[in-house]
Amino acid sequence: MPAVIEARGLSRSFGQLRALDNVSFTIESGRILGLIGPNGAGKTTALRAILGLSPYEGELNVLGLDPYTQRDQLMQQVCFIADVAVLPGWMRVHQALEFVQGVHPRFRRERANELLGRTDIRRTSRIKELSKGMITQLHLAIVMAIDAKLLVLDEPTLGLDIIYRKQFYETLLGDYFDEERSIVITTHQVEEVEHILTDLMFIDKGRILLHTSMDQVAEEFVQVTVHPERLAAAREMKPFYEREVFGRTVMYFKHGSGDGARWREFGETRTPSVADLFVAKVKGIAA
Amino acid sequence: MNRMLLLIRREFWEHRAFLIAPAVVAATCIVVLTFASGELWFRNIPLDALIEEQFRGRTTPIVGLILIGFGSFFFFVSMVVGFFYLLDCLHSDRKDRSILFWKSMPLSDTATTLSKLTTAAVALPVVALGAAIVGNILFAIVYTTRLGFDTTTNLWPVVFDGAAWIGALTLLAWGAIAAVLWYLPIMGWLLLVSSWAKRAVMLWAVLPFIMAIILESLFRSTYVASTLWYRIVGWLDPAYRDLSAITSFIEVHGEKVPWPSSALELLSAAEYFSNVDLWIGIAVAAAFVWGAILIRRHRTDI
Repeated sequence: MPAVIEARGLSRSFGQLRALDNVSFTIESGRILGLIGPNGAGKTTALRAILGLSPYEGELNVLGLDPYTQRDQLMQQVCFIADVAVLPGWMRVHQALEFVQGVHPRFRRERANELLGRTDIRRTSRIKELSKGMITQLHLAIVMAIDAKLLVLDEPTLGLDIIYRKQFYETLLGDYFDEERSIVITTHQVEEVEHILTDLMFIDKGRILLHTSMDQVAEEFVQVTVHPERLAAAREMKPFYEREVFGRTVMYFKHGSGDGARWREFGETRTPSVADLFVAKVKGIAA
Repeated sequence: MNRMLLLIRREFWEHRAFLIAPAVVAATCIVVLTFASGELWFRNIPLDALIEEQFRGRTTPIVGLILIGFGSFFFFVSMVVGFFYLLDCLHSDRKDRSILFWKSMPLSDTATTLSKLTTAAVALPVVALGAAIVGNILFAIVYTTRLGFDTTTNLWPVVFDGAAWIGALTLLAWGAIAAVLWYLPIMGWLLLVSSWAKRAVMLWAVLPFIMAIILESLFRSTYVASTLWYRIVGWLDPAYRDLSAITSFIEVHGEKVPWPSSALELLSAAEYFSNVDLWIGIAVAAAFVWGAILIRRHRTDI
């Protein structure tokens, strides 16, 4: 699989603050990557760099282009929804479609019409008259009608109710995603995207804490709810994080090689959820 | 080319004032002139005698001047609209964050910025000229009908005088071209401020000049003030052969000034284009626009 994004030694500073600190990663096509990190971790900085919206130090290559100097070419292949409701409020729905059709060679109007046909959005409405959910539906319809190689979603469902959020990801996965495309998503609602991700990247204080595939997560990490009498023994095994849940101690371990069974003697085992793993990674000692 | 046209159409979608403003101005002028000035101006004046004796042989310049006067009003309105448009055009999409949508399209910041400049420098004057033509035709029909009640003279051939119309429109169109080229540095400055300022674009655009004028007045200097004034009115003199000749047409009772056989005689394109201040202005404008593009492209705080 060819690489969609290749970053080597990517850095960006704002004064003293290292928003991105010498970060390297490769994202292949046909993946859905969840970029997860606390506020101010550098997620937006990384996305902005990938989208050609801000400068950076180091090497960055998106679909063979330098995003910062070749943004307009890059945008033929890359779509992004950065933040909710950035469609201009004064515009009418049919004007938005006409505009994108006129400037975007890969936009298919019929496809957009088809997607909009499933919604209650009227073509003559001004965007500011639409609800937040409808604006997101419209933006998504536009983006999904563009035959792009990379789709970047930065908090795409912020402020939407749960029904729209579910719908959003269902449409994305069912109607859009295929082997040729890649999607990068950042969101705070990790639980909602967890089941659609193929890859995971944790980022904190400008550094990558973890970059792995979802399959690897199950193989690499284990969460053990430890029996009280086995606490000391379990600690011997050097968990990289532990916490109390309802009076019981939960520990997180990194697997050795193929020895999943041995953790069961300490307590109940399961694969940690992305959210738990993230907290463990950020708060715990380096594993 | 089609792309540029679409980008300009986009500006018309967003700024409905481009078309509404001239329509409102035309409607207001026609109503006011017909019912107010029509009454006052010609009241108690024997219109037949006026046309037969005073205006004889000079109706062409008089009609031409009225057409120019009414028509130039649309260009003035277009200037005001254009001023606020240019200040707003690279700022409002940063304010409402829709710039993130525009930047997600395969459009260079150069194309975007130049489309805004083209809208103000070409599209708006073309609209103004169109509005001046339509407005003048409506005005002439209404006014001629209105005056028809007071005179036995057939006013229609007098008002719809081909020479007057062609002359007036030529002078207006030339004025628009000359003014736009002269005002390019002002347009560039407004674009630059619009691209740069985070808020209070109007203040940033105007205040530096007001401050400079106040400051220099402490030193009994008027350099900034006179330079600015020259940038506003300086195009008139080189663009027309003899300004006083144009305005003296209005002297109905004064000396008889013949309307030139062609309006082109009143233009002085050669003199206008050989004016070095024009080219200095254009160079400054290019620098401002370039700055606006660079800021649009490189600023990251949106």
